[in-house]
Amino acid sequence: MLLQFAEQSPWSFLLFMLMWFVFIFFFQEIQLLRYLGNIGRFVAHLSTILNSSMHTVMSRLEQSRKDDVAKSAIEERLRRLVEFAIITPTTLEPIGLVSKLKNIILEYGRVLEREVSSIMVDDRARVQNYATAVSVLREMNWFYKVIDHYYRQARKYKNYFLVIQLSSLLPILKELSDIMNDAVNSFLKGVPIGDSAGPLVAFLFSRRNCGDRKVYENVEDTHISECSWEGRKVFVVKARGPGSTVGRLDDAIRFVVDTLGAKPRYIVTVDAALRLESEQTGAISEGIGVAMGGIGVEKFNIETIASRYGIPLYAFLIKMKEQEALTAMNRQIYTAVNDVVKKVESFVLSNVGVGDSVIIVGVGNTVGVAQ
Amino acid sequence: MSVDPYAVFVMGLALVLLSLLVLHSAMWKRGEHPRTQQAQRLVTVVQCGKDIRIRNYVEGDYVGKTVSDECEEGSPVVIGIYRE
Repeated sequence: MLLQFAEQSPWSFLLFMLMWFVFIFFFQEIQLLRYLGNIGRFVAHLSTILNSSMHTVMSRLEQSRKDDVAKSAIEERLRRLVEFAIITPTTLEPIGLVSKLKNIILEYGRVLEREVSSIMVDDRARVQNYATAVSVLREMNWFYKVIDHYYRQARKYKNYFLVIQLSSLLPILKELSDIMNDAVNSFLKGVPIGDSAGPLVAFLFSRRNCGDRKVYENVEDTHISECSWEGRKVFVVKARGPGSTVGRLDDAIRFVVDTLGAKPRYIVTVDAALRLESEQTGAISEGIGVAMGGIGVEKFNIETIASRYGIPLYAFLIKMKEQEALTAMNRQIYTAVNDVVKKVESFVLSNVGVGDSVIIVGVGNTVGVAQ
Repeated sequence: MSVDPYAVFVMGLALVLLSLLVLHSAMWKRGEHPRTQQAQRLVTVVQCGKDIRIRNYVEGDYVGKTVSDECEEGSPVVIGIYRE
């Protein structure tokens, strides 16, 4: 057909072949431009939502600022905190790494809270909520910078494979950026988030079953209560709310076992767990081990205590998406929380004998959940 | 029959652009794109003795908070806040 075409008009044939070769060799360039355009628009979108979140946090801080703090000082401090670096310890020598990590994490929390409380009126819960919002803002800023860095590098070197990787990750990155944006607003409001499921189970269990309870406030940011229920001694451990904190659950368990001398039959942990696409939000699963996310410092410490004293570990997990874990709790999760309370009660009655003790730990951020 | 080279060029270009457009829309349809969620309202669950009441969330509510003047009997306590 081409030959027939060439016989009829050689110029047309030449033009057609030229176009053919141009597209063979420049197809990758065209694709590159198209992908770079998509990524560039996403980076611009990210910058917009980062600025919008920054503005929201700033205006909230301004509303709650101390009289002697200037508006410019708030902006300057916020920008400094958003750029704050956390340098993790070296892993060249892993011995003692967990305690080093814990030291750094605790210090970061202290610095953040101190900085926020120095510009805000004295309200611990609100300071904790705003400090967490600033922390999310810091994560958002880092996220933006990393993506922008790879975008600029891909553009600079015309690196097709870097562009392809970024482009294929775009839907996931978009979802992550929306999660962080929503999380800032949830923490500023101070309402329970999906991750508060564990502390909410602890709260509801105590409220339903522990009318007369002894409270220990020996561990910072952590609430420990002891009560007698159906002939069993129950220790309920959760972060102290309603401000945003995850508490020091490992120190609390160490306190119950070492200082109070309890010999628990079980350590039962309840936490939110990320679900797979095939799973439903609010689905409950049970298992053994410590249900706890994060870097793993507290999990490691609880496992160490449990193995040292031979305490069995049991866990209840409430499934949810990452977006649901970091934004205001939804109805499915709330229903699951009430179901887990019943399951924990049933578990204690079936597996902990009369006269024995058990530790129930509500793991997660206790924002919006008191005790 | 003579063929106008300009027409061939324009037709070729149109064909390529059409192909790119079809490719783009097919890829967009196949991908998962997070949509903006509909606005959801926050509700507060208040326990009044044995009764449970659900009302709109008010700024400052938190689980465990004792709220006055919301029940005829018993001390009302917030036992949940969720969005629906």
